[in-house]
Amino acid sequence: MISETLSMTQEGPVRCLVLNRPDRLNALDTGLRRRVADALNEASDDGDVRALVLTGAGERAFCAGQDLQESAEIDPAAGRHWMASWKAYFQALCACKKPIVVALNGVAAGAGLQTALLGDLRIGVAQARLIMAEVDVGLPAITGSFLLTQHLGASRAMELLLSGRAMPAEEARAVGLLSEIVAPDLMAGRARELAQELAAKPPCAMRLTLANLRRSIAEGMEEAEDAAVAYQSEAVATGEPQKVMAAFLARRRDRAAGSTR
Amino acid sequence: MYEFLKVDTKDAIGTITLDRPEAMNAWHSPMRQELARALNEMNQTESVRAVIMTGAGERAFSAGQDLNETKSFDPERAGTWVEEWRALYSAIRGMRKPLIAALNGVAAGSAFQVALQCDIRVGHAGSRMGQPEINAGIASTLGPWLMKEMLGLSRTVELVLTGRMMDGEECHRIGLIHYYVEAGAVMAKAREIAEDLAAKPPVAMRLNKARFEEVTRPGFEDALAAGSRTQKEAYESGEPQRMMEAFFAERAKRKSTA
Repeated sequence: MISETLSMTQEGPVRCLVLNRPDRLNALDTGLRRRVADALNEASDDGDVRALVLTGAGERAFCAGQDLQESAEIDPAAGRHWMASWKAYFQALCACKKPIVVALNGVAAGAGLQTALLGDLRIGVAQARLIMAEVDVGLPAITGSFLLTQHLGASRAMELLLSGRAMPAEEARAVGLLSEIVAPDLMAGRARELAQELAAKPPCAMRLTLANLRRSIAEGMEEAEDAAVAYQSEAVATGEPQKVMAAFLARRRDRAAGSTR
Repeated sequence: MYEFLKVDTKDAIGTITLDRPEAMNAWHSPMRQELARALNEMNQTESVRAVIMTGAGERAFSAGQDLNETKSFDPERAGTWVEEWRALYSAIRGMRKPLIAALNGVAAGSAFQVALQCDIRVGHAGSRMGQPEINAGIASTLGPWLMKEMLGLSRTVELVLTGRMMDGEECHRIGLIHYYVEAGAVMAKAREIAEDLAAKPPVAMRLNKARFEEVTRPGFEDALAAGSRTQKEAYESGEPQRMMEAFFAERAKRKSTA
């Protein structure tokens, strides 16, 4: 089945989801978030699915995170509603009953990185970059902070969050965020192979082990999301993120216009 | 006095050797009880200021749970099994003196968890460690909790879902083995560390240990409670029993063709 921005294929017990907006670096707009959440919820309860692969289309990005075009246009009054739609998206990842292999075909930024961190096994190409740069677009990274701390401990998480710097794939492997670096043309195959391996594990032990691993993360994410509603609303109400994002988008338009001249 | 352990004390250092080498020092209920008793006795013996735990033979620190015991569990026994771990783990967590793991060989599953609950780990290239429970159809809760505290979420999930065993070099690189030495030097290094720690001021040592126990208690209790629920549900499904039968059948086949 193929929808416009999320493609889905099934090979044996493995379902493969591909974020498919390569012209927008596979950014998560409201529609794509809903499609990913629906697909995860469905796979969760589908007895024929024993493991998932999640990756992105194109060579540049796994997922650039939130769609800045969409975010820049949020009405301050709609901030809470916007956050609720993110909550449903992350909820679907946290509640998934099947193991998820994330294959980073390129950059994972912001919510794209959070998506990757909520997966179970991560592999990536050498060109992949991991970025949590909410601070650069004027937004506090509340759930991102929680997830990075769970994965890396407080010291590395704080440095990444406050600097917003891009972590290269090699460093991500050294600190344990990626378990393997794979050549671009081999990555899809390797991701399926790992998913097949997980799909072959005793299903009851897999389900219970996953449920236990997800439980503590789901609780922390829920708390972070509630906090995020308050923090993001405060940021959006000041108008700062919209201004910073509008300036960013204007610079990008100028560059695009300049490069065609 | 002990059937499955060798226990000895020299100067201020106590040594507990897991001693079922024919079974890779795997433990069953009576051996776990002995180990808890030995630790409690060392803890109460004032002249002992540091304790080393190691395994007999060259292959294994301990293979962890003796699957011959668990294969015949019913759901109710699986629930009480988790409570039995409380006794052993509480003995380790209650130690008021430093506990050093001399990893002479593989430490798998619950033996990996015991090693992680020791304070300092000495190992060599053959000190393979990991949490292979999933491959035997056993869900794990306590292992992932201990691992996440030490390794963070990413490595924990990868190791727990794949059941992959790490070699000693990887364990050292990611911080689980503090001292990485030649296989023949593991015991001597452990003894050197034990002597160093035994010479520290005992009150500060005891209070530091007590504080670590206190701050990790909520996580420990949560993981044990989750373990009781989870093991009961797993055994109700019949999956672990089937997986372990298959494991023994496979092993018998390998032996008969070898």
